[in-house]
Amino acid sequence: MKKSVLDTIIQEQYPHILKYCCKCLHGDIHAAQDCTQEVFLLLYRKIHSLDMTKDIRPWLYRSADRVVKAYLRKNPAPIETDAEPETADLTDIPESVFDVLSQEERELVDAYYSKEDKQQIAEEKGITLQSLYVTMARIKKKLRKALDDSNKI
Amino acid sequence: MKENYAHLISDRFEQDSLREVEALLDAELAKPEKERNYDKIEELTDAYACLAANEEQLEKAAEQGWADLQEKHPRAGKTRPAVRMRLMLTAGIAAVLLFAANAFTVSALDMSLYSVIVKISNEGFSVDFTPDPLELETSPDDPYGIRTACAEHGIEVEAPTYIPEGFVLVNMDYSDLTSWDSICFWFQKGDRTISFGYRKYVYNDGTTAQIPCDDFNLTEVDINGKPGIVSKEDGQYTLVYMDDMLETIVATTHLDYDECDKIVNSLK
Repeated sequence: MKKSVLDTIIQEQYPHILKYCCKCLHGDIHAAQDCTQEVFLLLYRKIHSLDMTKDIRPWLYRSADRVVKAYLRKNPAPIETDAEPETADLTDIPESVFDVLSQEERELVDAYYSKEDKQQIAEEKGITLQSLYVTMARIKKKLRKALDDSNKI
Repeated sequence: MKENYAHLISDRFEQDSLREVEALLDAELAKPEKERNYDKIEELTDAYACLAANEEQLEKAAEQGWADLQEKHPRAGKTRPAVRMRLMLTAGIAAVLLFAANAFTVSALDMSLYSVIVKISNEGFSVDFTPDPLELETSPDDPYGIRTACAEHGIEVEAPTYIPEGFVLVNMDYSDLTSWDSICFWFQKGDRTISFGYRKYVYNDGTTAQIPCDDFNLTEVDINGKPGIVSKEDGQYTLVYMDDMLETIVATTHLDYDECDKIVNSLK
């Protein structure tokens, strides 16, 4: 079935709005799903008054804010007290664990912790900000796996 | 050097990174709409999802959500009819008919259609300036279509089930603003008007309802369990009441106050 332009736009934007709602709702995916549905159902209702030739994102984020606020008014988020996590103790960790990282990855870790402005680091490396955080998360995963493997030996 | 890796391996990495991303996102969202970089906002929300370790769940939820949306809304997945083209065609046909009628009266009566109207009015016929009535989708429990029209904009309202005979809906206006949505309906019969205005606030910013009146001819009324204020003076009648962030205003001009009370009491 041939998709309309509207449906293409919605399908592209749905994940972004869902993630945005999830962030605003402190990670509650179910609540984020409900709010996102409401945003796009509202879009279908108001479609005749919107100019779909222009960027629809301002309207979507504005509506998402409104829907999330209305949700939080009825379902106030509990106050969370995050316990400060401990930093890992690396004194007994063999150097071989760090061998799993490539030279590029080591340089990225050094750069990440050398500057506060992550946007600048991303630009210098020629990657997006998202890619920077995602890559660091992957490096972490690699190190954790290497650490677990070394503990098993 | 090793302390960097210690931080990276620990849970502090996610917590600190989430805070950083959140701060960047909030900074971008704090900008006026026209200055925001929505590509960056999308990047940052993606990064947030990745760091919060729920990216896979969110991707699945997005697929499911899109499937549910297509099921819930019949237009989803189908090509929308060309409404604008239909309206233009209707307008075009109306214009052709009007010109044709004028051409006929010119040839038959040796005067244009527009001057015919003037001639009749000079001979004592009243000229009706009421705009063409609008039509809304009605139902037995929503006889004037107000509730349905509001629901299309996501606003649930109490609508009148009684409006005196002869009044027609002449205007409807909807506004979608940052702090509220508002929708108004105007009914008219000659020089008498009745309007129903609804304003749905996003949040309570302390705004209070304003009642325009020169003196204190105010009475408190009960509208389905909610307190309202009615002002009656100089042939004008105004009702204002709030219900959970929704402000309702009913206003009339040159209408008998008993009729106004009847309209207000019919709100459901």
